[in-house]
Amino acid sequence: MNKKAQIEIMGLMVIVLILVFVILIALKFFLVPKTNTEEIQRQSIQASSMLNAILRSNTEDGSTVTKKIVECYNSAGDLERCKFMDICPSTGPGCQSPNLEKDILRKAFLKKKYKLAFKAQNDLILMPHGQNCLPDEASITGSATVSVSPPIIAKITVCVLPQESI
Amino acid sequence: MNKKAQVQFMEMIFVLLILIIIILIGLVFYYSFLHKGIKEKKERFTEIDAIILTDSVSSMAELTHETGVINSVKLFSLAKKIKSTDYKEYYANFFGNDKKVTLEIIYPPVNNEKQIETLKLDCTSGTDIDAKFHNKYTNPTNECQKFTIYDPGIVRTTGTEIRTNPVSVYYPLTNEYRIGILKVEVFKNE
Repeated sequence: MNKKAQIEIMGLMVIVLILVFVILIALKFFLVPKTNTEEIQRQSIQASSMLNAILRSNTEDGSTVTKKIVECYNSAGDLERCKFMDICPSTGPGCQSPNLEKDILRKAFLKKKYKLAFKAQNDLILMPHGQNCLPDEASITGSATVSVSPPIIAKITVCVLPQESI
Repeated sequence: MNKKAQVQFMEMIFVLLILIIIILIGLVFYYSFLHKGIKEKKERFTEIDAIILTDSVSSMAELTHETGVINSVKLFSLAKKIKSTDYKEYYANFFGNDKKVTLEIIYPPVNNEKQIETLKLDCTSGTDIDAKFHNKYTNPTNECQKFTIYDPGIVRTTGTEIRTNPVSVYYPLTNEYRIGILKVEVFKNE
């Protein structure tokens, strides 16, 4: 091979390398999902606000959510005392009153997945409501403590997709 | 001009043409990305604006009972204040002329709760705020499901962005708390 041909092959290789480099950078921008920090922060604030509102709220019978949780814990899981979260177990014409889990959390978090749990001394007081986050979803947790004896910890986990638009 | 020179001249023209095409394509891409970037930034600022407003409303001295808790009676007095000519401009600057702020009570339910948006009783919109307070709010006949905190009166826009935040609402007459959803609607005009 003469010298001119060798130089031309080298030139071609440089062009191919530059092209590959440019394509790799473009792929990085298009394929790697962006982590939406604003959405994560916003959901974190929302989760905390929701928990504070729930724990402060009264219930339909004039009692408070906090009192109901304590009663449920003290009754060692008695179904009658612990069903306040599921006032309406199924939606339908006979189901007039709102359900704390189905209606309120869904309204607050719109189409997002969430999970609500209450714990006392590491024991779950109620079965957690909602779903777990998938591995590709960011899980945002807000927690609050109810000052009773033993202290009750309420936790809301909201799932956010990495590429979710703000 | 000999034939070789003519071929080389043609070759140069082709190279220049291709170069110009590449530069043009580059410019088109650059400006489309620039335009997209500006649009995204505008959306982000609108979003930040809505978040700031949601936080500001839930900590307004005119509305709150304590931090993060809205006093439901104060909603009526603020609604009357916003409508008075003395404070109209101040609150228009505070809320912005492209945002509507409402509060909806979601739990425990109010009397005669309605699921359809247009049927929900809004106790702080319109002019008869005092009548609604005396007839619809006072317990045990509380029927106020919605409260309009600020309405710029915009009817037709190209799009609306909605931001919500749960808040605790205090009812001083009965010493009760309810859960409400504070909603900020940002009207977009493009």
